[in-house]
Amino acid sequence: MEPFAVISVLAMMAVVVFLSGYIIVYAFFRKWDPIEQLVFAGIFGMAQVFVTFFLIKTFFVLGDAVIATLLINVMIGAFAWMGRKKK
Amino acid sequence: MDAEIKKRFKDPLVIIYIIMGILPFFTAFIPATDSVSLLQWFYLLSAAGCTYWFIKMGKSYKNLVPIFLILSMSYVYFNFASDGYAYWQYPFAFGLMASALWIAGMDIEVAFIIAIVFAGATIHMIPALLTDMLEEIDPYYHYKWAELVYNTGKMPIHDWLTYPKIGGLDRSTMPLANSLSIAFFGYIGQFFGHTLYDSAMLMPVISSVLTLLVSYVVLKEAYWKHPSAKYAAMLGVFVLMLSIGWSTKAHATDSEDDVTGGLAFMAAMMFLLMAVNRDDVKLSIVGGFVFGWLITMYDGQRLLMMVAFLAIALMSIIGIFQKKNSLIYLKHFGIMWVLGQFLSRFILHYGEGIGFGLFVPTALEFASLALAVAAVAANELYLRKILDGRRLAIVAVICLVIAGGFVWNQFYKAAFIDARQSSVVFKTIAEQAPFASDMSTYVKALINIFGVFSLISLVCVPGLLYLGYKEYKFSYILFAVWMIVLGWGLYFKSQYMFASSLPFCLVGSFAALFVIREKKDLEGLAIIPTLVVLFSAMLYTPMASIAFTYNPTAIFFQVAGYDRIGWEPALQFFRNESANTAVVTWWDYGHWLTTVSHKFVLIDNLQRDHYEIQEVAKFFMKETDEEKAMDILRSYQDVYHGGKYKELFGGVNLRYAAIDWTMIGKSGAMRFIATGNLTDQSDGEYDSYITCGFLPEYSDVTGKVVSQSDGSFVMTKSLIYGCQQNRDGLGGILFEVRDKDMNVYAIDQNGLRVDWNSWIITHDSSLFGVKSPGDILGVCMQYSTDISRVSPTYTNFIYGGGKFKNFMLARMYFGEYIESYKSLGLADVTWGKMKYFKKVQSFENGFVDVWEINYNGWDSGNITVNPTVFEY
Repeated sequence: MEPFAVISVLAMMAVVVFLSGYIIVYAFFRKWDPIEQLVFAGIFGMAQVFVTFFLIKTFFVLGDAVIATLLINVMIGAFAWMGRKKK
Repeated sequence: MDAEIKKRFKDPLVIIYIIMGILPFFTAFIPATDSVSLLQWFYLLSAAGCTYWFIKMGKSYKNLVPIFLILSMSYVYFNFASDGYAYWQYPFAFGLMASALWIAGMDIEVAFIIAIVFAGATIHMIPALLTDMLEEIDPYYHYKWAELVYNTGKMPIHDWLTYPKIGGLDRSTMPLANSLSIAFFGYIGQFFGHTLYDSAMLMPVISSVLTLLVSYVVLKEAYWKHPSAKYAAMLGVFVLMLSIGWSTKAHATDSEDDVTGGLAFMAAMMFLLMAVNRDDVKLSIVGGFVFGWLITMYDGQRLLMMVAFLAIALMSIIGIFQKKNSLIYLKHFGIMWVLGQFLSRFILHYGEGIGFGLFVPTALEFASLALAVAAVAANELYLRKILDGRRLAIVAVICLVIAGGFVWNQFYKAAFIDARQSSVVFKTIAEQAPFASDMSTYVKALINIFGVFSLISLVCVPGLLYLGYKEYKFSYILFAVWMIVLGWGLYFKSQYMFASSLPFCLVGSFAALFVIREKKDLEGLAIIPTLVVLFSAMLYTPMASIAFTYNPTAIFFQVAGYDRIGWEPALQFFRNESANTAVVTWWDYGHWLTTVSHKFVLIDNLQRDHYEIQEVAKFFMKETDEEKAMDILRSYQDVYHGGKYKELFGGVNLRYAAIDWTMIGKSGAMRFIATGNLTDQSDGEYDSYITCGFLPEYSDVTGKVVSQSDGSFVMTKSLIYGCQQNRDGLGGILFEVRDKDMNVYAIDQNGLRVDWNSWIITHDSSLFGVKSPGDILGVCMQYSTDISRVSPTYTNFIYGGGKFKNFMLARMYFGEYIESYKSLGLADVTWGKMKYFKKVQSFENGFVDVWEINYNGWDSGNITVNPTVFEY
C-alpha cells in the first residue's frame, strides 16, 4: 500500500475508535487518570462492535447497525453532558 | 503550560531532538541512499553538538545521559541501516521525540505512552508498506466473512462453498466479531474513499497499539501500589512491542482474529484486576461486557476463563493457610464471566429462542467453574470455622476422587493438548504438532521467537508464586498460572505461539520490581537483576541483534509468501469463471479460492470433515487408475447436482482440478491421510515425493575440457541436484552434459555413482519434472549465479518410486513432459493419455497448473496449454 493510504486509513480508524470510545469515558470515567482514560477509550471504541453485533443479529443491516451504534454512543455522551451541566 | 516548561521547549537540545524525530519521515519522499546519508551527517553533527552541550551544562542535565546514549546508538544504527534495519528509523524517531518531551519536562509515563503509541503503530504497519496482499491463509477466512457482511449487510448463516458432502458448514452461531469489526471500519471508511480491504489490512495495527496500551495498564494493576510498578510496566510493554513471537500475528496484513482477540483478552484481564484491586462491582460489570465481546471474538476466552478460575482456586487454598478470604475474586470474575456468557450467547444464538441450552456450560466451563466454586467454598467453610482442617481435608479428598479426574481431563485434553491431535488429519498439521521435542530445543526456540526475556518470564514463576502466597496477591498468582498454563501448553502445541507471546513478554516484567530505584541500591544486590533485566531487554534492539542471533527485522517481514503470490494469477483466473464452479485441490488453498475467487471447493483450511479430506487425498495420492479417481469426483458431482445445491445455485459444476508446486512437499501428508484409518485413527504410510534441487556450488556450468577414449577432447559440464530425505539411499543426481550427449548418474548417500538407468530399474523408481529436462538443465546453467530467484519448477526434479510413479498427482502435474523424460531414460512409467483431464492453464511458470474435467472424456487427443512466458 502507498504510505499516504496507510496513514489515512489508520488515522480514520484511530479517530473513530478513540472519539467514539471517549464518549463513554466522558460519561462514566472522566475522573480517572488521562492514561486510563485513553486506554478505556480505545477499548470501548473497539468493543462497540459488540453492540453492532447485537444490532445486526436482531433488527438492522450493517450500515444501519454501525450508525445506530455510533448514535447510542452519542446519546450516552449527550446525557452525560447534560447531567454535568445540571451540576 | 507553565513558564518552566515553556523555557525548556526553547532549549536547543529539545529542538534538536524533535527535529531528529521528525526528519526520518521525510525519507519516504527522497531516495533511500540520499536520505540515509543526509541523516547520518545530521545525526553525527547533532551527536557532537549534544556532547558539547552536555559537557557545558554539567550535572544540571543528568537526565540527558541516557538520551545521549540513545542518540549515539541511533547514529551507529544508521551506519548499519540496510534492508529491514532501515525501517527502524521510524519507531526510533518516536523514541527520540518522546525523549525530547521528557527533557522538556513532561511526565516520563506520558512521554513513554506517546512513544509506545506511535512507535508501536509504525513498527506494526510496515508490512502494509511492503505488500498489497493479506498474509497467507487464515486472514482470508476472516476477510471472507467481512466481505459477506459488507456486501449483504447481514451476518453469515451458512457456508455452502465448502464440504459439500456434509451440506456445508453452519455459521449462524459463529463468533465472528473480528470479521464484523473489519466490516464496521470498512463501512465507515467508504465515506473517506477507503475500501474494505484497507480495513482488513490495517485493523491489526490499531489492535496491536491498543494491546500495548492495555498491557501497560494490566501490568500497572498487577503491581498495584508497588513503587516500581510503572517502570516494570514500561519494560514489559517495550519487550512486547519488539517481540517477534507476538508480531507473528500482530501486524498489518494479518486480519485473523488473534490480534483483536488478544486485545479483548488483555482488556478483560485489565478490568478483572481493576475490579479486584478496587473491589468495585461497576468495573466487573464493564469487564463482563468486554468478556462478552471476547467470547464473540475468538476461542481464547477459554484460556482466560481457565486461568482465572484456576488462580481463584489457588488463592482459596492459599487463603486457608493465610487466613484470608477469597470470595472477592470469585465475585468479580463470576460477574464478568456470567454476564459475558449471557450477553455473548444471547447475541450469537439470537433467533433460536431463549432455551435451556443457552445457559448450559460446556464441559471445560463446568470443570473450571466447579473447581473455583469448590475451592472458594472450602475457604469460606474453614475461615468461618464450620469445618476444621481435618474435616476439610477429608471433603477435599472425596471431591478430588469424584471430580478430579474429570476436571484434569478437561484442562489437560481440551485446553492444553487438544484431544484432536490423535486424528490422522491433525497429525499432519504443523500448528497441531508439539512446539519442541525436549526441554533443550524448547529453550532455544523460546529465545529465537520471544527473546531471552522469555526465560526471565519463566524464572519469575516461582517468585510470583512465593510472593503471591506471602503477600496474598491475586495478580501474582494469576500471572504465575497464566505463564504455567501457556508455557506448558506451547510445549505440546505450536498453535499456542501467539497466545503464549503475551505472558512470555509481559510476566518477566515482575523482575523489574526488584531492580534499582535509588542511587544507594547501586551498591547492593539489586545490581544483579538490574543488569540481567536491562541486558535482556536490550537484546530486542537492532544494535544488540548484531551480536546475537535474535533477528529484530523479522518483525517487518511477516507478509504473504511466494506460495500466496504464486497463486494470485490462478485465483484471478478462477474468479472470472461462472459463480457455480467448483475446484478440487488440496485444503491449503480452500480459503483463497472461496475468498478471492468466490468459488466452491471440496475442502478448506478448517479441516472440518476428515472423510472429505481423505477422499481428496485419495484422489491425488492413492488412486493410480484414472477411472477410480474419477469415481471420487463423480460422487461430488452427484452431490453438487442435487439437494440444496440445485435449489440454491442451480447445481454446481466440479469443473477444475488444480495442483501447485507445494503439493509435492505435501505429498507425504496427503499419502499419510489417504492411507490412514479414520475409524481407529491409525497412521497411514510415511512416504512422499522428494525434490532434487540444483546445487550451483557443487556444479560446473562453465565446463572443462576432458579427453575421450578416441583421443579427442570434449567440453563437459556437470550439474548436480541434491535430493532430500535420502529416499532409496539417493543423495543426488549428476548430469554430465557433453556436446551431443548426456550421462546421468545417481549419487548414493555414500557418494558412489550409479548409472541412472540401472538405478531406476533396481529401485522401481522414476524421475519427473514440471518442466522438461532440457529446460531445467538450460535454465540452471544460464542462471546458476542467481538461482534462488528462479521458479522452483525450473530448478528441481522430482523423484518417486513404487506406487508413487503412477498417482494422479504425478500423472497430472508431471504428465506434460513425461515423454521427454522417458526418451532420455530418466523416467520409467507407462502412462496412457489422460481421458478426463485437460490442462487449460499454467500459471507462474508451472507453480500452479489447472486442468478442466470432462466427465464424459475429452474427444480430442490434443492437449491445449496456454503457457506463460518464462520471465527472469
